[in-house]
Amino acid sequence: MDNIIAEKRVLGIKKEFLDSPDIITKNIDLGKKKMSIIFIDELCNQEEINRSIIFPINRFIEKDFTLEELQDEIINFCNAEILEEKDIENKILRGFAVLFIDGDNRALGFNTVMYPGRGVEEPPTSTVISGPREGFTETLKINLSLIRKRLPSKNLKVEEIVVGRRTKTRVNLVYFNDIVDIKVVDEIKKKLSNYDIDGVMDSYYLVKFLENKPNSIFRQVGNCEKPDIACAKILEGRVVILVDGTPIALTIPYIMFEDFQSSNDYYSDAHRVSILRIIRVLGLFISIFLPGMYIALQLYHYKVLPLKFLVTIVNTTQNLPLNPFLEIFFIIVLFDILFEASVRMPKYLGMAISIVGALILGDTAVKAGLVSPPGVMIVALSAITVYIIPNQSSQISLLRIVFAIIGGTLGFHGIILGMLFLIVYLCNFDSFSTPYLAPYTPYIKGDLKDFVLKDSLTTMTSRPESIPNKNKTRMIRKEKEDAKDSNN
Amino acid sequence: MQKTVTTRQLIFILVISVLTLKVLFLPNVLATNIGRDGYIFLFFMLFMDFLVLLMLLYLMNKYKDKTFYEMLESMVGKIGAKIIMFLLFLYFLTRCWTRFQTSFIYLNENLYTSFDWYIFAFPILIVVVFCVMQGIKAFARLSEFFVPVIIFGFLVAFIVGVVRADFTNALPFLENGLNFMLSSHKYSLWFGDYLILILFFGRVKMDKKFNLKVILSMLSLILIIATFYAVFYFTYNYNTVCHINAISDIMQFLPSVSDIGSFDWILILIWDIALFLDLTLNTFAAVFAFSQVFTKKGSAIVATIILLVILLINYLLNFNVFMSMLIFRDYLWYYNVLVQGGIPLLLFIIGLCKRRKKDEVPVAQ
Repeated sequence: MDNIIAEKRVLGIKKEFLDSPDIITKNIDLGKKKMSIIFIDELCNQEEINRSIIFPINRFIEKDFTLEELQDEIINFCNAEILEEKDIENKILRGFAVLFIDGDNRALGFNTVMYPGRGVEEPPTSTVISGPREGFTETLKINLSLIRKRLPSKNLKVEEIVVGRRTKTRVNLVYFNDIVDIKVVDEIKKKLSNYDIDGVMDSYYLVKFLENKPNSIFRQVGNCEKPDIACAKILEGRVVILVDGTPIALTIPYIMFEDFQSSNDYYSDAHRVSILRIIRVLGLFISIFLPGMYIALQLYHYKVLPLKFLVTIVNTTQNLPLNPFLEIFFIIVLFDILFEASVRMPKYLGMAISIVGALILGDTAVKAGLVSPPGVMIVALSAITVYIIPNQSSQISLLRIVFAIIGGTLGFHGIILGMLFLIVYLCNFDSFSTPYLAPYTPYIKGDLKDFVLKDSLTTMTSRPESIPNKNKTRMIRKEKEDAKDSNN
Repeated sequence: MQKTVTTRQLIFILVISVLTLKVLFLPNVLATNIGRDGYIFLFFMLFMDFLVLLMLLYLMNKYKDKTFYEMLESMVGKIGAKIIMFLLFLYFLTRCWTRFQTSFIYLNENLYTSFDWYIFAFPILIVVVFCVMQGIKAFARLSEFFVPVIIFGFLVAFIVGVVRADFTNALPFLENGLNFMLSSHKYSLWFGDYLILILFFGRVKMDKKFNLKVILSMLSLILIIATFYAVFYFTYNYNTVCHINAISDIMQFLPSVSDIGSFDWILILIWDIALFLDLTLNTFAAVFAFSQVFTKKGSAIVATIILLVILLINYLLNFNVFMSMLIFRDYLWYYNVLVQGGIPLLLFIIGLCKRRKKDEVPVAQ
């Protein structure tokens, strides 16, 4: 043991790290004891290292001590731990400062991590009118603290898994131990352990590992960017997956109707929320079926149109060079091009693109007689309603085109067949033992309180049955309990 | 056997099976052949069917954890079971055929001015086969998804009819006596819907009041269907024969303004869904019966073959829908009556006898 020299070990490690200039080493000579410290410059808080580690040690010149004494008595640093040789490299890579002393093959690791990162902000995709505005960040520790802050319970369990051979990304499963169905947790762990990928850049990588049907266009894993939503889902018996380096948390199990619910719904009047949810459902139907139905009406079923509407359409479409199907398809493609361009353009150009797209291209196309005003209106309405349910926008955009094609080739009957095809597919689409279309089918009466027509919070006394859980009781009405006691 | 279908889903499936054709084309057929008192006839026939339901429910309760085929094996042996399943397969094949034809007539009459057989047939074939591939659990959920919409649409039409009907048209009561009852066998094509239950033996999560729920809902349905016919006839009286699609025609009376247009096409679309569900349900039953007799693998392949056979029959009949209907009415009714009434009655009696034997054992001991 005496021939173990700290300085040599540190140099060896630095060599293993290919002599990178950001690997900082420092030797400390205390006379009787020699020691060396190593850390990665960008990941550590140097001020903390100087103040909490090097400065206290320097006060103990000419004294002999062990690693344990150093940890417990000399350096009063709460995030210090003794590391075995096999863990040392990993800890350095995670932003630990590691201290070696002569004569000991172990080391002392100090958590001095200071990643560069942004602060807690309101997420751009989940803005709210009322309710908390905090959003997750790219730092796992902050995200976990945002959840812990809201759920201060000893039953809140956090399990850490490392995914990615090279990125060694930390993934945390967060759930209530006394609520969650442990089979769901086991299934998640099993699915994550099935893949040995080199790097995980975002939680979306894990989504594909977790899905039963990874090639499907439909989401099987939920996501959220706000800690209040994540906590509500944990309370319902779901598992929240936090991935280091991304502000998007994953939630499992997932049901389709989740995307019709907004966090605002829980901080607003139930009646108003019910109306908004009806509009969202209507929006979904408009966005998927309206272009297809408009084409089908013009090509096959013009008899069902009211006379005034029919006259308007005939007047505006009679001189068009394109048939209704090609006209609508042309506008959809035009709109998607504009959308893609405006998303990718720098912000200051985005506005200009919108003006060019909406005013110049759209207006000119109508005036040039390429497309009709009702056609533009139909596609514009359908395109806007896609974003009523932002989490489903990619699927809806795709289905809109599919149903436009079906409407153009088969008419209403084709649209009905397509809808049946789609829904029977979704009926057989369970996510972690949870039916995808619950609570509508299979019908779960208790869960309808938070379906399209939202009930008051006071009536939601039990957790959703559609989410597997082992503790059904969410709320007890004390008045009732007291009345029972007095009767007894 | 996994219990994958809930009581509610089963009731909805029965609603689809019983309701779909009874309120679409049957009222016109009855109005043409029977007339004013058709509702009595309809009520009688539906009640006869209801007796079949009771027999099947008895068997379902008795053999809770067995599939229909397993129950048959325990009752009549393996060969007997295969013969019965083969008879049922042919029965459901003919039902698929009628549903297929009805869908075509329906779309041609109501939605399209001219409709190509191939454009209609192949997409429907693909979607039916896809449904069969998804399994009975997914189909039960699909029914649960749409049947509330179908019931709502039907009730709207029913209420509109009730408001418009002239109930004095009920008189004279039994103007032609009860002679029409003699021809009841010729309408067997339109009945025998509860045999679809063979699919659900051993698969239903039975509620506490399972029997009561099923019986009450089916009794209500029978009453509503018979009343709907009466309302339909009392609305149009002697002109009823000119109204082929009852549910759509009755919706013409819905108050509407020219700015919004008529709503009956929404009901037409809803009934397109109902017809599809009915066709798929019968295809499921045919595939199930066929699989028990010949092979248990590849339900999608079996469903495709069944539907292609139907297409081939249509091709041989030169796609003459009305001719195929006549063949049904004049020749296949013998077979229908045998399967619809005979098989459930036979099984019910065997089930009863088995019970008695079981009851006798402890006495002998």
